[in-house]
Amino acid sequence: MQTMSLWQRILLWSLLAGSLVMAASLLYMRERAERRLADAADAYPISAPNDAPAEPVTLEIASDADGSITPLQATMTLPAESHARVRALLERLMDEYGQPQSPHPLHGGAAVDEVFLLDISDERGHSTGTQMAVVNLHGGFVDAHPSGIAVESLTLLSIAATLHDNMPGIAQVRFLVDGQQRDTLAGHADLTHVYLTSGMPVTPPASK
Amino acid sequence: MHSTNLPPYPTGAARNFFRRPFVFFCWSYVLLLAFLFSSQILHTQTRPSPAAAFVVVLDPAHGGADSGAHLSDGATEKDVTLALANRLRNLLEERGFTVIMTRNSDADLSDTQRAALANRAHAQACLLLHATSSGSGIHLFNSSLAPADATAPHRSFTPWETAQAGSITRSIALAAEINAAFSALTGRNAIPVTLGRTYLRPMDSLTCAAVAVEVAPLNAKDPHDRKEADSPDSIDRVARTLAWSLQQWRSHSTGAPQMDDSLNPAHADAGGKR
Repeated sequence: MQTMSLWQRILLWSLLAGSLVMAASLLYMRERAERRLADAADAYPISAPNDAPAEPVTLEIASDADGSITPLQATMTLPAESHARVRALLERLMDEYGQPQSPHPLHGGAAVDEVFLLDISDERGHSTGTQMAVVNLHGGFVDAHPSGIAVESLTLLSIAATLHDNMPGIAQVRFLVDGQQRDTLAGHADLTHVYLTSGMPVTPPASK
Repeated sequence: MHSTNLPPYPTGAARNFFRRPFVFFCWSYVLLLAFLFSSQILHTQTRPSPAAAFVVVLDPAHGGADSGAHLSDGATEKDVTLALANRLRNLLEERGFTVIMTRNSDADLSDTQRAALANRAHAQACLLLHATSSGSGIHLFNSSLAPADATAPHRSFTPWETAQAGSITRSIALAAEINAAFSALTGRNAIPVTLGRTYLRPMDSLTCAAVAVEVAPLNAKDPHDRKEADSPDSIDRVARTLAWSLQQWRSHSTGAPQMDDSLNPAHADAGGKR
């Protein structure tokens, strides 16, 4: 068997060392790219302008234990534009449900994709001064939602009541999932109905 | 002229048989008794007794490919609701109810099929059975539909999607009856009850007094005594209490006195466990 010459051995070890250096540099660059993407994702949700004053809001928090919905006073900065305000409000509500000790635990990431506000007209086409909120939910959130009549109904009523508390002009709420109508939230609560907020008590936010 | 279509006059042995007046009389008497006896049996079978006329529809939710909720211990909602419905059906039939189940097996029925089956039965009570891992105790739901306007002009047709609107008042009364039965359970048998209203299929299309009964873990707050909805103890306690509430519902609906007291929740604490 022919043995390698000195130069051949040097070349072999050099190539091996070069491979290791390249592997280490590739790993470092991959981690740096992941950090950059994660930072970008964190910044993706709506962030209220820093110079906007904090406003008192009321969040209607559901409880699975006793099936109740109770108001929670909070303060948060809200965007000026109405659609963005409603969306930020609902994201805050869902953040409460994402907490580990939440009385109505929900998971599945971002819940609300978009909220549209539509003026409600009477039969003659005149504006009634009230609005319908069309809440478009993310499919991922809906797919991960716990299944049950009570737990699903509480989520929908909590959203509707929170919207009505903070924007009393919202008289109706309709839910879509990924832009489409879906029969139920997670197998029970009917999403094809329009949810009326007129029967819901209004809990005004605490004064500043 | 004579007709050839007439049957031949009995001859031979048959002719001799009918010539014996005593035998002929005996056979006539036997036939008369048989007729009277059979008509009495038919009359007894077709006459609706007060208890048998009380129809209850049980709808075990989900089934087939639709498993429903997955409980914490791995059981599926469709199996729990069927087990509860079977237990409840046995208890009710023992007490003279006529029970109609929307499904007796792992069948996948549409909401429309369930509602059609229940509406055809003209039932006095419809229970939609569900199970979940969320919350605690028993959740009772009526439809969120507004009651139909009694002063509105009579309409020949009822909208399918909102047929329950005409029965909301009776449905709420039935939910109150069930709530009273569960509230009578005390001590370690106590089961918390939550009342609510929601939009739920096929409940919104039912014309009978309808209540959705959702069974959540019993004693959910006590981690040492937490019982999932599919535990035999949960199914038995819930079924017995529902059967008692339906007995009360029948008694109040028909005015008939309540005779069977064996399911009374007030006696539940006597032995510590029913």
